[in-house]
Amino acid sequence: MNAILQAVERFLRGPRVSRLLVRFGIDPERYWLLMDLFHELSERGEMLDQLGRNGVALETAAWLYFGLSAFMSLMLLVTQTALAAYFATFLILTAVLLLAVLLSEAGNSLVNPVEGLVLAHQPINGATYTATKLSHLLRIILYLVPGLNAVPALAGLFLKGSAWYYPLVHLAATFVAGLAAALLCCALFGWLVRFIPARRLKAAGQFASTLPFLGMMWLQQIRQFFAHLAVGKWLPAGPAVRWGLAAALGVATVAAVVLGLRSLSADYLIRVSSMTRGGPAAGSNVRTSRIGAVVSRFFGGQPGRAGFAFVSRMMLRDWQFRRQFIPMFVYVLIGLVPLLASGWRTDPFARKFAPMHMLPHVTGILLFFVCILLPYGGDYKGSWLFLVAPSRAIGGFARGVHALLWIDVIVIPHLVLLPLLAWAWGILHAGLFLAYSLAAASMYLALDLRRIDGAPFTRQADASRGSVLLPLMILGAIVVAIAVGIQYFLVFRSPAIVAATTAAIATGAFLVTRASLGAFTISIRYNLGLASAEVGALFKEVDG
Amino acid sequence: MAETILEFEKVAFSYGHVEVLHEISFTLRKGEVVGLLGPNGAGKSTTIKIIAGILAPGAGRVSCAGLALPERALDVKQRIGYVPESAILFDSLTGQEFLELSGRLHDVGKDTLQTRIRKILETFDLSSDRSSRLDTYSKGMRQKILIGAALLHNPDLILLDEPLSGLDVNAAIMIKDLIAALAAEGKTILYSSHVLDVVEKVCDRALIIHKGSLIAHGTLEDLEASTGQSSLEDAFRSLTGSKGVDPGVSRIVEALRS
Repeated sequence: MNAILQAVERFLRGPRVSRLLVRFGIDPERYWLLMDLFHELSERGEMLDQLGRNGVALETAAWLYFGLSAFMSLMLLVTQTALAAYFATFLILTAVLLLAVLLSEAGNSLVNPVEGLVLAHQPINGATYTATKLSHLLRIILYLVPGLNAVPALAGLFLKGSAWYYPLVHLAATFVAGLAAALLCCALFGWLVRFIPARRLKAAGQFASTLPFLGMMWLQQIRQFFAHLAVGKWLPAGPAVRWGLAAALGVATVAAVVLGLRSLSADYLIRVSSMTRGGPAAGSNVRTSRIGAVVSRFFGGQPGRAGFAFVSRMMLRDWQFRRQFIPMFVYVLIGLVPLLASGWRTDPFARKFAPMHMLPHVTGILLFFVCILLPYGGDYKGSWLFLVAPSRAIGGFARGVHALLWIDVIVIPHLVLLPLLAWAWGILHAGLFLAYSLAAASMYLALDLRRIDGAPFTRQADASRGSVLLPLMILGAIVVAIAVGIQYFLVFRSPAIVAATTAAIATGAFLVTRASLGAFTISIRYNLGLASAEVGALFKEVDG
Repeated sequence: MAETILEFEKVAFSYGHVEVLHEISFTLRKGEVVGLLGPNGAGKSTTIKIIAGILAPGAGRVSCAGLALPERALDVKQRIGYVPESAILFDSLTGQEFLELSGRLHDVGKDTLQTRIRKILETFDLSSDRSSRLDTYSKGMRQKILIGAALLHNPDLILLDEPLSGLDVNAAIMIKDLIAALAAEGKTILYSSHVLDVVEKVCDRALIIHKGSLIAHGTLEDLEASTGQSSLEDAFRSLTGSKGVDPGVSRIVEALRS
């Protein structure tokens, strides 16, 4: 196996591939120098935020997709789905999932080029640099396409009408879909780099990363829109004309991709410095939060206020946090807000299902993602600040972080909903439901606090976390469905049961929060201790 | 008169809506050491980054050795050595590896590169740390690596942005001697610093930038004479209208007492 890999590597670095690279304006010598550099940096834990360079994260994601697709193909086999529908399902799934992953990865590579600051003054042309940056997208495809399609390709053999070569066709088609997704992502960023001012690129990149989610959510509406347009009615009926139009559309797409790729590579390194300076603007005025004063009084004093203010601002401004959280948030927003908005008048005590039942659980799922992502940040090297803080301040700081999540994510939205729901359901039902929801969401937060592994924004972003978020979302949806079912069938039978359950959950949430805050404080201290030991390792020798 | 190596003509640059350079013009000639002075936020680092090909000017014309920027940035980057203001490095690389990377990117031959790296590490007293990761280096050691990386490919124009930051006294003296020796070899050096007495010692002339505009330039004697001051520091204060530090200091002490 090693001999084969070595032969492949010799071929890739050989004169034939070099000539090909040169034809695309890529300097082969510097290309491989940078590839080796990025590989070495990843091996030594310096570029872990890029999925394509993080072998462990890629393997984890591939196995998760393997399990997910195996389950799906089993379901489709049991229902004896038609071969064409089966094939289309996995082709579309592969394209959409890869588009989601690759857009996020291309965005992280291209609009947050922290390593570009070290290399910007070196004589590297734009094509070489961007080719190196984007090569890891190919690695993502090489892992995720087999992960997603190995089982479905083989399982397809058991469907009616399948031929012996079906697995080969299935895998080839999904690889092509993956490559097309990668090229589209790169071209999209090429156009963004060309037309969006450098300082706005990060925001544009984050918006672009949410496009596949928006597409999935609005698939029905998009289909209806095109059906409404009835494009076919306006086109001449002759097949030659239609084929001609299709060919023209294909050529235009290829041209857009080629031009996008060219835009990406031209003078890229000159934009790096401006890009890394870009980001959500901090207001020029010094604003004093009134809630901050409340937090300082009731949740851990000035260290509590520090935790509250630090985390609330970093959640809005940190690139790595925003990059991973915004797609999740958009997914929840687009997926559930219309549902809640359309059914908010339905009283949960009525003998029919009310979408509002989902409120505490969706809040809990959102908090789960916040807590998982909170320790990681783009400016993690600023963690030294916590190392010099007095140890006793850490407990107060942890309480401040909890206060932020509890007040901003749970209490305020519930208070905003109270008058609205009271008007629709009456004060008793609205008050009881919101008290229940508040208690349940607080319990989720109490449990989620244990998922914050260290002080917020003090660890290098880890691609392995980001790669499992999508499967976790699917798992989260199942958990929400079970919790909503229990709530609907067992709890919301009478106001008395709801009041008793609310009191029990609230007491439980209070006790669990106290224990979780202790665990969170210990986790912060433990991780700071590790960071301190790392900094103190004065002579860290590197082998070879 | 010596050959002109850098032309900076009516260059303007903005970060978003904030204009940080307003039509600045100056030239650098071969073999001279020029100080680039100005208060914090004056535009010194932006000026240097434009010359280094890291930023594209918003308006005006920049050329280095007759090569226009940013169009010929790749060729210009082969001819310049740049020490950035903050020591951003790949922390997981060793000192030796970082220097090798920098030299290879500049196409320095294998044997020449190893010889130069060895000499640089020996001179900077870093030989015993060559295999240690850069994240274990002190600020001064990292600065030495950056200076070494900027010199490895024998550049014609050397851009130094606060090069003495974090260096101990001996290393700082050595760098000052090195600057003089490099100038004698015909290298041009643009030296940006806040430390005026160092500029006074090593530079032939100075450019003073204030709020994005070039407000004075000339030999140190010319600057002192034109402002009627007896030292570069007084001339700088007079030109930039900077006040004494005493009121600010007393405000801080008062705040600490309250």
